[in-house]
Amino acid sequence: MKQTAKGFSRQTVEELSSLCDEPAWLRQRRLEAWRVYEATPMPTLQDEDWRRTDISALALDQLLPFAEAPCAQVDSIAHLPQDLRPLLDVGQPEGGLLVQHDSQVVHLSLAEEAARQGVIFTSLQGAVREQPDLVQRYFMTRCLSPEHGKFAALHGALWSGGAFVYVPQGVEVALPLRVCQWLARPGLAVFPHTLIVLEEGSKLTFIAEQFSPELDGQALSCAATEVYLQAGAQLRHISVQQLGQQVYNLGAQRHLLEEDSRLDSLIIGLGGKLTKLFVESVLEGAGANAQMRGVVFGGDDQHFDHQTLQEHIAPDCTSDLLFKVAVKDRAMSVHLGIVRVHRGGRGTDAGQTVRNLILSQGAKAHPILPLEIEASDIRRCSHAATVGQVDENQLFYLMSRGLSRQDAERLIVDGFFEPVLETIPQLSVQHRLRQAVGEKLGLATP
Amino acid sequence: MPQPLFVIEDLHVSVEGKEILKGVNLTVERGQLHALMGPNGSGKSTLAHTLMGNPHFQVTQGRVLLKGEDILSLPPDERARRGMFLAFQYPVEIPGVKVRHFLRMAVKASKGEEPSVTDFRRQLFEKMALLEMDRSFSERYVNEGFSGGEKKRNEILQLAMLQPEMAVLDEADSGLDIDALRAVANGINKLAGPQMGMLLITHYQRILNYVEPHFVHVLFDGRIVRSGGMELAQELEAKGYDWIAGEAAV
Repeated sequence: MKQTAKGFSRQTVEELSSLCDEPAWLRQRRLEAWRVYEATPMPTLQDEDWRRTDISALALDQLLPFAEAPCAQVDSIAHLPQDLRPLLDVGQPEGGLLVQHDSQVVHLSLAEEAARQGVIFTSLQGAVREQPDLVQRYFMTRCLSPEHGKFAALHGALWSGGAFVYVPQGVEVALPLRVCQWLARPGLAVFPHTLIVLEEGSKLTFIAEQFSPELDGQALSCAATEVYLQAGAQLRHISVQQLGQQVYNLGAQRHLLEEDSRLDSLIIGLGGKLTKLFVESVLEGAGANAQMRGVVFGGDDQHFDHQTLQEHIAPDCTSDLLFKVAVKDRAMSVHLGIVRVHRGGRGTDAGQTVRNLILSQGAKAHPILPLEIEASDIRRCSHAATVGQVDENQLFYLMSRGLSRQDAERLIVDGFFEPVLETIPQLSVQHRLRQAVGEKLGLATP
Repeated sequence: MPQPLFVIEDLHVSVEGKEILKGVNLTVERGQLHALMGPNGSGKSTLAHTLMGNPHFQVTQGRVLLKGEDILSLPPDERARRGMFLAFQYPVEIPGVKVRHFLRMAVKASKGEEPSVTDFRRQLFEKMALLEMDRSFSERYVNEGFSGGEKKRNEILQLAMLQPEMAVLDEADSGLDIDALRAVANGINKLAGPQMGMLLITHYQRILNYVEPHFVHVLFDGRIVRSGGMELAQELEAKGYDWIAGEAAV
């Protein structure tokens, strides 16, 4: 089986590039990203962005940066490993499906209709060969550059797997495209990269899901997603994270919105040991609209840190953020939500709300929502954070109808998330998430 | 003599150290409808919540017997499963939980078994028709964005679905316009039966124009100071609560 040596070095980067048989320009980009990685200090609790998130226990030098998938690329999902198949919703109508197992893409399909419309949906490695101009133009350039941070740089140097999505002008993709990433090997670091380009006036629903079984050892997911929304394009972007509880999840997702484009993004964080995820919308064209929502449910000793950015550069843009967070046991959730309005952002309408539900005494939530406003004539800029426990009046009401305290609590938490979950276009994904929430609640410590 | 359905015996209740109920006595038999009237602050809601087991209220003395068993030490869900029901004066919003889903869980919890999907649906729509409620109502989130009338109707719908043995209706009429009041009252009349005991708590006499109680009691300053029939409610309507206050002071 092909794999690189443990730990990360310039030599690892070169080895990986050779292993993937890459063109010189790409090798150069990896090496440049590696240079940025080396020049950037490792984040510590002294850094503003990492003040409440401690990654010192992550043993980077023990991780394997690449491992070939244990199975070959297959055309039919029936040939994929047994434990992966239930996650693939066989029989559900889908515009396209890409499955990644560990570091590599093992399955790819695209509905005929979408292919006929000129939609490109392929592995990023495949796109490097087949669409080099597009990849060269969009890959880690203007949207998410290695300078974004230590782990964006590491990702730029060591990425493998991931997807490339290109929707031509005016094309509306009828059914969702879905990417499913499966991290099954302890000791492995995966760096999947998703690059999405929506040309003018096009429309897409994209669902990305990350899973892993429970692993007996540390693992790292360092994923990056870049999205370009050209004028008038519309994207529904759903990201589901159900990694195992040994996995560090250090990722970034960044959307560039041109004029009158619209983004509806939904982040769902359920798994992982520790998550630090940057979710950023940059409104750089007039009239752009970003709706950013999130559902986070932490249990045991899980740690979640979502850092969101609503960056208003152009005039008359709208952004609205709503994150719903529940924590139980000793779990902790940090939300650093920044609204930044540049001098040119006149007529900005921006709002952010983070609601935290504390289900156990040992659980904690820290919402921090700074506003950075340089423009003088904005329409609205509001932020609100709540931290509270399950309401005693609600409990009494439900218990007076015969529900046990545990069932009542469960119903209240279900209801807390439900209005967000029921907007997910794929019913099988909704179902899976309700089940995951239910399982987490079932294990609640009294 | 057969055992009475529901007995309140010398009930004393405090809230944050202040005594609100100062020895309430009341017996409700199956098939009886009792109205409990009283001015603001007399302890009506305290009594309703205490009977259902709201932990905010501390019982300092007395007993509450349901079918002979003292239920005061039981949590609200146990009381519900034994046949108690409280229609809330201020029904609580449960965001994100559909009426249909909530009712299904409640029926399952109080009956101890999961109703079949078709039986449950049939029963739900039947009861909703009885209360003149649109079917789409069952798809809404519990009490969220409901008008005052819708909230009260939803309480009566729960009463209809759960079919308790002893129902306490706390101000089922407050804040309702005349149409909603009539619908709620109709619902109560249709649901009352020989097996159920009902305690209808109200400030005003007007719901008694539609629902005729067998007994009327007046609660004043934490005690039942008068009991009688419909004529007592009419006397109250004519003379106002000041009349009771005057008598109680003597």
